[in-house]
Amino acid sequence: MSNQQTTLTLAGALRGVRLVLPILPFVTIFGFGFGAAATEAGLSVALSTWISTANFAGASQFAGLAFWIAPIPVLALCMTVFAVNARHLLYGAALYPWTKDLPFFKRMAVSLTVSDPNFVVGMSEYGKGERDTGIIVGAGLSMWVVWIAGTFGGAYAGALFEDPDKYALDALMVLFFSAMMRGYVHGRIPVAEWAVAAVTSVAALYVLPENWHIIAGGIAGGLAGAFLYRKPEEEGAAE
Amino acid sequence: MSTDTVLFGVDSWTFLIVIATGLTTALTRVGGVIAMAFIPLSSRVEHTLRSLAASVLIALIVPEFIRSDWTAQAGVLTTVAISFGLKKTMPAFFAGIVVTMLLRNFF
Repeated sequence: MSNQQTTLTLAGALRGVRLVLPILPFVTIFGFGFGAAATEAGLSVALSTWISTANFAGASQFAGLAFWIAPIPVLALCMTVFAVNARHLLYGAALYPWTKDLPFFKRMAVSLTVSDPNFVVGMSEYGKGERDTGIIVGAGLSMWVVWIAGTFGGAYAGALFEDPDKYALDALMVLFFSAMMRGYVHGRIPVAEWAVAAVTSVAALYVLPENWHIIAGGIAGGLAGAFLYRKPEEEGAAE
Repeated sequence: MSTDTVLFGVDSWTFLIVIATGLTTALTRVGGVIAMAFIPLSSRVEHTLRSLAASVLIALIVPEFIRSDWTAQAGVLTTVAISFGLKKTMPAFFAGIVVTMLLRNFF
C-alpha cells in the first residue's frame, strides 16, 4: 500500500470526515468557547464569526482577542497570529514527504486545510500507509464548518451564561494541547528537548512581549533537538 | 469611503484586518511546504522538525499551566495522566474539562 501514488480524492476526503467525526463535537465546543470569550472581550457576533472563518486557528484567535478593540494594533496582532501559528510551518514541512508528489496548487490547497487535529490524524494514517491527502482536506473542511458554527453559537448565546469560567471555557485550549502531547512522542520522551522548551518559554514570558514565548520555546527546543540528534547507527557508539 | 462603511456586518477597516490575520495564518500553512522544496529532507532535518513541533506544544502548555488557577491545573494533570496512562486522546481532553468544571462548581 505504501508504494501507492499520492492522490487527492473525494473518497479520501469522506474517509477524512469519518476519521475526525468523533472529535467534531469537541471542535464545536471549542469554537463555542471562542465565540463566548470573544463577545465577553467586547467583539461583535459578526466579527467573532469572521475571525473564525478567516483564520480557523483557535490558539491564535484566543491569543489575539485582546487586540480587537479600536484602535487595533494591526502589526502586533499579525505578529502574534504568526508566532502562535508558526507551528503550521512545521506541520507543512512534516507533511512534505507526503504532499511533495502533488501538483503545486493541490499541494497548497491541502496545506491550507491543515490544523492540529487533522495533522495528527493525517500523520498517523500516513504512517499506516495512507497516501490519499483527501483525508487531510476532508477532516480539515469538516472541522472548519463546525468551528465557524460553534463560534457563531458561542458569540450569540455565550452571553446567556452568567459565569463562563464555570464551564472551563478559558481552560479549553490548554486542556486540548495537553491531550495532544502524547501524539508527539515517538518512542522515548525526549526529556532534554522538552525541558529546554519548557524553561525557555517560561523565561520568555517575563522577558519577551506577550505571546513570543511560544515561538521562543519552540525554536529553543527545536535547536536542542538538532544538537542532541544522533544518527540511529551512531547511538550505540556514543560514549 | 467612510470608516463607518459596513462590510458583512463589520466596519470595513476591521474587516480588512480580519483578512490580514487570515492571510497571516494562511502564510504559516503554506510557508513550511514551500520552504521544504529548498531544504533536503535528511533524517537530521526530520528529527529537528519533530523536536520543533513538540517544543511549540510544550511552550503552549507549560507557561499557560503556570498562569492558570489550581482547578485548570488539576484538569491538565488529569488530561495528561489519562492520555499517557490509558492512551486515549479525546476522553483525556473531556476528563480534564469535567474535572475543572466540577472543581469550579463545588469549591
